[in-house]
Order: sequence, then C-alpha cells, then structure tokens
Amino acid sequence: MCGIAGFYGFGKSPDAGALNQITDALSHRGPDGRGIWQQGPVGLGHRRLAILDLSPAGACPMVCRGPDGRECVITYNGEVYNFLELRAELEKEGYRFQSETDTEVVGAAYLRWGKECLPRFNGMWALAIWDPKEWNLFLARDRFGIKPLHYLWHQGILYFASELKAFCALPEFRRKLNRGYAAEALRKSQPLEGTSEETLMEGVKKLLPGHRMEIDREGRWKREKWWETRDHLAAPPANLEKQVAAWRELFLDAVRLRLRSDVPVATSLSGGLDSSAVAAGMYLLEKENPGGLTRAPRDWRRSFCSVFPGTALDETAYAEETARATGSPCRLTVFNDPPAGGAIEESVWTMEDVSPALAVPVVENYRAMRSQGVWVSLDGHGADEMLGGYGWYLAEPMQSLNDRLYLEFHQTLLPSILRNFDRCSMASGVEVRMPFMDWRLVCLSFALPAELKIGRGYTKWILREAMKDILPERIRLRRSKIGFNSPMVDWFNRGLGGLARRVIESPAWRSCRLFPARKIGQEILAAEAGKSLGSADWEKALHWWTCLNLVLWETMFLESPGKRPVGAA
Amino acid sequence: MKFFQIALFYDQYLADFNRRHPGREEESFERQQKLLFGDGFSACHYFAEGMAELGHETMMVVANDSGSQLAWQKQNPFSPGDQGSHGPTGAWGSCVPPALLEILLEQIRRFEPDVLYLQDPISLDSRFVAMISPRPKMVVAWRASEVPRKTDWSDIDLLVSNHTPSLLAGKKKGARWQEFLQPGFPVRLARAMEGIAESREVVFSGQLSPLHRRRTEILTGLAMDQMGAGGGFGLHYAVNAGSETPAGVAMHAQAPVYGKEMYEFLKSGRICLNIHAELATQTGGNMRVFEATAMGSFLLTDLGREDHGLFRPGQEIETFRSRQELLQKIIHYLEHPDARIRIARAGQARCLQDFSLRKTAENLEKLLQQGLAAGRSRRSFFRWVNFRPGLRPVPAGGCAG
Repeated sequence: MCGIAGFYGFGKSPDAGALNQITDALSHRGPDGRGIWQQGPVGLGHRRLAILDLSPAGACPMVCRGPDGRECVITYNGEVYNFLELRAELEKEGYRFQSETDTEVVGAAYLRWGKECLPRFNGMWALAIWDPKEWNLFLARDRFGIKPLHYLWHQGILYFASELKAFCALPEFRRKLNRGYAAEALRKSQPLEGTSEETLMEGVKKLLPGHRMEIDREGRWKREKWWETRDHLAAPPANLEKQVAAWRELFLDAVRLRLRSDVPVATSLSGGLDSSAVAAGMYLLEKENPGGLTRAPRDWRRSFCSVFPGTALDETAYAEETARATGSPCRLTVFNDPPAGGAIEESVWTMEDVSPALAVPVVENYRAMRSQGVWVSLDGHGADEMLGGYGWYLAEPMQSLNDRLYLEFHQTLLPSILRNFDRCSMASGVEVRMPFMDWRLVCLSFALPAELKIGRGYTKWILREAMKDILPERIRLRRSKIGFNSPMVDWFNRGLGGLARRVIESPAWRSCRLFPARKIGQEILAAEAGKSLGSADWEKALHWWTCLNLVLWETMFLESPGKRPVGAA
Repeated sequence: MKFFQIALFYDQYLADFNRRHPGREEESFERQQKLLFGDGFSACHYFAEGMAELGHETMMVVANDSGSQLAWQKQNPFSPGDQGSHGPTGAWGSCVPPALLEILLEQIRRFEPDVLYLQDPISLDSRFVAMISPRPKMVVAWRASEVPRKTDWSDIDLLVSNHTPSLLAGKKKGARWQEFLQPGFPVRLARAMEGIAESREVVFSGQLSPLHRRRTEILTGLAMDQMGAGGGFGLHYAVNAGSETPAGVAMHAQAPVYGKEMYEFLKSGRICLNIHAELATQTGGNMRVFEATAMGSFLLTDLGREDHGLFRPGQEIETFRSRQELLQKIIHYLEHPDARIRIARAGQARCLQDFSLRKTAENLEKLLQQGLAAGRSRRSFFRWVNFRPGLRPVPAGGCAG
C-alpha cells in the first residue's frame, strides 16, 4: 500500500512546499489519505492506500512509542504479513498499540530491535523511520525489492520517494537523461533494476533490493545490504516426498498470510500455472480450514484477466477454467484492438523506465479491479524465475541452472518485473501481493536441487507436484507457456493506435542519438504500411518498442512537467 | 564357408544386460548367447546370423562379455600356453581383457574360420589379426564412424561400411579392399515387438557426447518449442544425461535403453525421432533409421546427403531440415494419426524387404565369395557396389548411433 516521500536537510530546514509536492506526485499510490510530518530538518510524506485498519488510527506518517517512552516516526509502503505474530511478541514485552495496522508493529519492531528488525519481517516494504532521539533517518527496502524507494541528493538535502516521477515535482531540480543507463537499458532491456542504483534520470538513485540506509545528524550516510538469500538456505528435507510436502505447506502458508486484509482481495489470472496456483491455494485454504484465515476478508472470490482474442497470447480458456475451478468469477478486460495512443503514453508515464513490455493491458487489468472495489490482488510473480519457468532456462546446463535462476531472481529479470507490476498496480491504487515471494519459500526453493525445478518432463516441477489434487489437471500439467505481454507484433502492424507515427515524426525521435532513429522509424512505418510483422519478429518488435518508450519517456519526464502527449503543441 | 564374427558390446550395455539377467553367468555358453542375441543389441550387425540363414557354418562371440566367454572356457578347457608366442598383450589398448583375449584366440583357433569378421576393428585391428594362427583366408571389418589416427588396417582384406568417410579412411589405413554395404535388421526382432502399443508421443534414443553437439542442440530446441504454441506434447529422451546436459534435455531424460528395451521404447513412440551425429550428418544413415522403421515406428529424421534413396520421405519416413520444420511435423503428425500410421507401415515394409539381415547377408556373401575366389584381393580403391538393381548406387552413410 501507499506512496512515501520525504527529506532530510541536516543543518537546513527544507521548504515544506517541496515535501507537499513530492508527496502529492504520488497520490495515485494512495488515494485514501494524505499525511505530512515535519520537524526541523526532517520531513516525511505519505499517500495512504488503506488496507489494514481503515480508521484514521492507521494514518501515516505515524508516531510509534515503546514501553520506555521512546518514539520514532514512520512513513511506510508495504505489508508485513506476519504483523499479528510480531505484535503478540511485542505485547509480551510491554508494547501497546493504538491501531490495528502493520505499520505500527513495524515501528515498534524498529524501536525494539533497531535495524535488525528487518529479518523478522515477512512481506514487502519500503520505509523511512525517523529516530528523533538519535537524529537518525533509516531507510530500507524488502528482501527482493517488491516495493520501490528512490533517493536524490540535491542542494545538500536528501530527498526520497517511492517513484521517480515524484522528483519531477521538486523545485529547481534540473532533470537530465542518464545516457549511460539509457544506452544500457536499450542494449540489455532488463538488466539494471536489481544491480544498479542508477535510474533513467541523472542523479536519482534507487535503494537496491535487500538494502538499508542510515543517515545521521552530520549527514554521514551508510548503505548496506542486509539480505542475501544464499546465506539463509537451510538443508531441505531428506526425501522427495517430504521436499514436496514442505514446499506445498510453505506455499499455502504464504497464501494464507497474504490474505490478511480488511478490504476485498482478488486474484490476477493470466491463465498460466502460477497465478492459477495462487487462486487454487486461496480456494483450498478456505475449503479446508475457513477458521484458519485470521483477518481475511469475506470478499476474495473474484479474479481479473486481460485477454487478447485472436492472437497467440490469448489465454482466455485457461483463465476461465481456473476461475470455474476456484469459484472466483473472472472479469475479462478484452483487447480486440491496439490501445489508443494516449493509453500507451499513460503506461510509459506509469512505468517511468524503459521496458520491453507495453504495459497497457496490465495497467487496465488493475484499473478494472479498482473500479470493481478491489484494491488487493494476489499474483503469481516470482515462480518462473525461482523454479525455472521460462523456455530459455532449458539451454542452461543442469549444473549451473540454480545459479542462473538465482541471478535472474535477485538481480536481472525479476526485479524489473516487480518494478513494472508495482507501478502498473499502484497507478490505480491496487496493491499486488506475491505468495511465491515469501522469503521462506524462496529459501527452500533455492536450497533444492535443480532437477526438482526442471525435471520429469516439466518446468516448475515441484510446484506442479505440490498442486496435485488442488489445480485442474489441464492447468497443472499444461506445458505451453505464454508470457504475460501485449501482442506487440499485431499492434505494431496497426501502428500502435497511431502513436508510432506521432513519435517517429516528433523532434525528440529525430534528435535521438542512442539508436539509429531514422532507420528504425522507417522500419516501423513500413511494417505498419505492409502489416508485415509475423511471430518471428517478436524480438524486433520488442526492440522497436524500447526505442519508442525511451523517446516518450524523455518527452514526458524531461521536456514536460507531466503527461504531455508526444507531438502535441 | 566358415564365418566367425567378433562383436564387442558397450560396457554400459553389458552392465545393463547383467542387471536384467541376474545369475546368467551360471548358464551355459549357448544359453547365454541365446539370451544376448535374443536381446538384439546392435542387431543390425548380426551378420553371422544372416550367414547362417544362408547355410554357412557360423560362430559369433561377444569378446568382451565375460559371462558367456568364461562359460565357453569352462565348457572347452584349454591351457593358456596353447596360444604360444602370440600370447595376448592388449598393448594397443584393446578393450578386451587379456584373459578374455586368450579365450577369443582359442575360439578362433578351434573354429578354423575361412572368414573372420571384425565388428570393431578399432579395438581389434591388424595387430590383433597378427596374433591369430593360422590366419583365416579372409579378414573383413566394419566401420562407420571416426577412425583414430593410430589405427592399423594393413592386415584387413575387406572393409565394409555404409559411411563414405570410413571407406576413404580404410584406404588410408591399409585395408586392401573397401566396399559399400548397408547393415540389415533381423526380421525376428521386428516380429517380437508387434504387440507393443504406442504409449508415448515423441521418443528419442541415442548417445550424447562431444560428437553429438548438434543432436543436443536440436533436442534442447525441441524442449523449448514444446513450451510454445502448438507444443504440449510429451518428449521422452533415453540418453546418457549428465550434469553438463542442458536442462531441456535432462528434464525429458530417462536412463539409456539397450537391446529389447530400446526396441520397445522406439515402438512405444507415436513419433520416433532420429538425429545424426555431426560426423554422420555429413553423409547419413545411422542404425536408428533401420531399427525404428523395422519396429514399425514412425521415423522423423534429419537427412544426411546419402540418406536419399534409403527411404522415401513423406511415404516411408518423414524428414526435417530445421528446428521449425521439426516442430511443424511433430504437431502435424500427432494431429494426423492416419497419415502417421500409413507412413510407419510403409517404412517397416520397406525396411524388412530391402534392409533385412538376410538381404545384407546375401550381399556380403557375394563379396566374400569374390574375395575368397581371388585370394587376397587387391582391388582398386572404392568400387561402388550396387546391391539394388534399378536404383542409383547408394553412397555410404554413417553408423554413429
């Protein structure tokens, strides 16, 4: 939930207006409330997406108190799903709580355990905690970078915010393209989210996944990695049967924890194995032990899916089969035609980076969810990278498969996907929860031998085995894999709803030196004229899109203060 | 004519055979031979069996099979010194242990063959022939794969192969006469498999090694394509997968299968895939082409230059030239069982008619008769023999299954 922002000015007292502006630039992340806290050189801002304890007691920034009277102030984005268990532990030590939120538990945990509170959390978060006694600002991200946190040193002041676009609202900040990052992003498409602090906007950094940062009253700052999965791998159970049972138990427990919500919950179905497994897990938990779901909403049997009839990416039938099997009616967002140019531009603004994915269907899926009164979604992210779900893993020798998965899970592919889904869901004020990203499940999975991931004729074998008698067999044993992406080839043949031509004819495209703009522009227009792209041109279409994406980003984030369409006067 | 064939079987096969036949070393030599040859490992090379069908006196031994060879020694006691100064040394790296080599030499000595047939003239080359006394009238060898640099074929009278590079190597290594010959499949084994039902979709049986990089790539690519549109079919690879094997191959891998188990495996597939080794791809024709068609399996194979004419693509077998074509044909023939079954039946009929063991034995017999008549023949290099009237001589193909 939520968007966070803030600053730390050390000897200075920064302008409160700046705090208001960067906070309100994140209003889409928190449509349910707004909070500002400032004291001297420190300011914390918050946009609230209310999910746990919807009362004003759950508002942020929140002042938390320990039994000794010590205080801290927290602004917080995320969910610590085991907050009930942590709260009980803290209550035994004398802590008292004013709200039913996880936010207050996180603040209290910081007061009790300091920065070592982080390994106790099971969930996703980006947070800032001000310790007024020590004059210490503490920033942290979750283990895998599900929730975002950016920062900028500007005129001797540290600014931080959930999204890049917040810094566009910062007065006197001169926005510039980080050309090195842009070139690399065009070349490798998704390598940088988990490995580089850089962003497309020069000067704005991101705190990397599993990292924390402390800044003291003198302005000395220390940034360190607090989580490394391989340091937490436990020996898996001895035999195959027990390994599958342990995996299944952890997965279902991860789903159970992620059903903790005071607002309705739904699932995003793609039709694939992973999201279907999440939906089936929810169904099973209620069927087998409805009383075991503490703090779960009554309304969670709904599912949402974007579909592309008539294209190779259409998975309607599979999504509907899972919806039937789990008793969660599926609302389809149907894309018969390319989206309008304006919607594509909006998706670039939402994603705020260069990505080979055209995100409109994802954005629209969560928008549909919000429009139906749902703002928590349980999704299937993480399983493909953790358990070897993508086709390209099949070329990897078995002896190095686990290393490859580890890299893509922690550093390259998955961090980019997490970023994209955070932006796309939070654009509509929807929180995405990811059972496969439960750290306990991740640690068990990476401790298992590679052949339990890709083996016995299947990818993600252990997941399939664990879902025996839970998922319909047609879904469980489905071998075909259709990544959730837009039908780019079909859409390029139709000129991306007129947007491609507008971008290619814009001054920004013509002056771009990061790729052969003239040549690529001609190719894109020729493809549109001849409707000549086929399935073999997928990679080409993705590259074309990243080029268009970059130019759109420059126009929106550097030239214009906000979402000004390309080519508009 | 008296025809003596020496076979050497893979150690992995013999270990697997022993696992499937516990206690067989207690059986008589004859009983063990029946079991071994009944299993059909390397059956395309059972030339002695084919020659026996033609009325010749034959003997075939698996020289590195300690079970049957020691049983023979038990039944036919002899003193080690009987071999005199030609005592076995194994100095050239033969895969036959010295004790078994002694038995082999004694078997040859007692049988007194006119023709000695070496199925593996790399392990047993001219240096082995030199140990045999008296020397048979004619020494024949088969090779259809790479020939190591130090191989000596100076005492080989006739080299037969379905693999052109091997025939060329035969000349270089000193074999006096080289002739093209296709192997042949025993009809009895094909008949024994008739009851096996199709229970798998796509099957592949073969070896993985540095000589099979292309094969590994194709199998990996197929595993990837199986995840795409139209995929979803079952893949079953009976291969020697290891830690360096790509995940796409390893995930579909089961233990290698040999002999009867391999024929059952091939027969169980709706589609039986064949991919030549790099070497053989240059020319064509590995044993799987015959083994699969003989079983009545639908063979989908890549095509070497010299495969043309063996079977008619689209009528008796099916072929592919690219990864894309392979996928398309798998999808097509899984969706069209009638066409698939029609082709498989035609392929089997053709194999058992033109590439039966008896047919091969007839062709070999002609060569042997010519050779024996001419004494130690010294014919000119590379004389093509057209065994199939009405067809262009078939260039050689590889045997690198």
